[in-house]
Amino acid sequence: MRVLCDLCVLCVLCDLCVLCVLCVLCVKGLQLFKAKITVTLRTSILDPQGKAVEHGLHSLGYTSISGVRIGKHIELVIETESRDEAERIVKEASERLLSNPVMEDFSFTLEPVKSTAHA
Amino acid sequence: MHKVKFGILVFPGSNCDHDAHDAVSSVLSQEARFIWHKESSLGDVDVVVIPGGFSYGDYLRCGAIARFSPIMQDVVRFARAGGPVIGICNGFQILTEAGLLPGALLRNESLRFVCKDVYVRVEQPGARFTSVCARGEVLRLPIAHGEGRYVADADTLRRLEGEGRVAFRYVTPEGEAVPEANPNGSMNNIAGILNEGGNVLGLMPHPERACDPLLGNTDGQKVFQSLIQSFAVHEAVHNLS
Repeated sequence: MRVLCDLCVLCVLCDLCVLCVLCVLCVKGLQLFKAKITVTLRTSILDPQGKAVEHGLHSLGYTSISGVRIGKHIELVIETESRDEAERIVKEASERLLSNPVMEDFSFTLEPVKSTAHA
Repeated sequence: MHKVKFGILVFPGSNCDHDAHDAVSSVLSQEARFIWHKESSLGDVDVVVIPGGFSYGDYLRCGAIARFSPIMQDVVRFARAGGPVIGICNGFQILTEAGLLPGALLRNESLRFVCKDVYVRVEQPGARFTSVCARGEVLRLPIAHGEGRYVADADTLRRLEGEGRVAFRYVTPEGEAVPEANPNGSMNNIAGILNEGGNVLGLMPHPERACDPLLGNTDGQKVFQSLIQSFAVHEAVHNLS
């Protein structure tokens, strides 16, 4: 069965016919995902910003906190045929531009979104 | 002798382009022209200078966006063909992001923007950019950056050191590479490095700001003079043959 987004409604007769109400993306067989990417300095690399913030936290009395690392949070929306394809693209984009593999690591989450208006 | 033709790249946010132009044209009497980053060809130049500044506002990472400018494709071609390229400060950051030089430049260890004169030791007097210098010669050059901490993985660092590709190191006025002389926390006190072919130099200090005698320091001239001399030698050999 075809994967449809939450906005689209199947008719009572089938799982996909001309009577079914589909959004533009589902008509094209595309899905929309939101990716949330986190980029942090590699653990082997000194993070003076993280150290300074950790020092600030200790000054406020939060002495139980340690290991502060500062990173970047990037969000983007991606229109693809499948989740696998979305994952592949986000990984590649993160390696090629969003992070610098010389000094940074990245991780990301993907979640389906209904339409660009909801992105 | 022919004048050496310097092409100076200009990105949105470059701010040392005119300093570089002035240093090589007015002070060293060579030819210089600006090359807007949207151009697709370097044209007829002998040397490419990627000047300092804050290209694209340092968005994402310093130099990360500049490397996608149309002109960079031709810079990569020029460098791969052995053409001399010198990246100063933001130019150094762009060269690492473009993959023409290894490693990366991170936020200074102090987290402060550092603007002062530093001393650097010439590590490779045989290099094309430092041939008029003596081994171990100490130059006084200005730095002005917030993200100049040179970082590379252990393998890369070993290769750079082993292959004699560390061009400049931060030192004391006496030439000692000690932690106190390191303004930004760079690994091994590295201030500038060369690519494998020795034709691409990236450095954080600004030699172009230490060229005009009016400014009281002409140590930076040596970098450009070395380059100019390399063309004179090439021309002389060419005329003999």
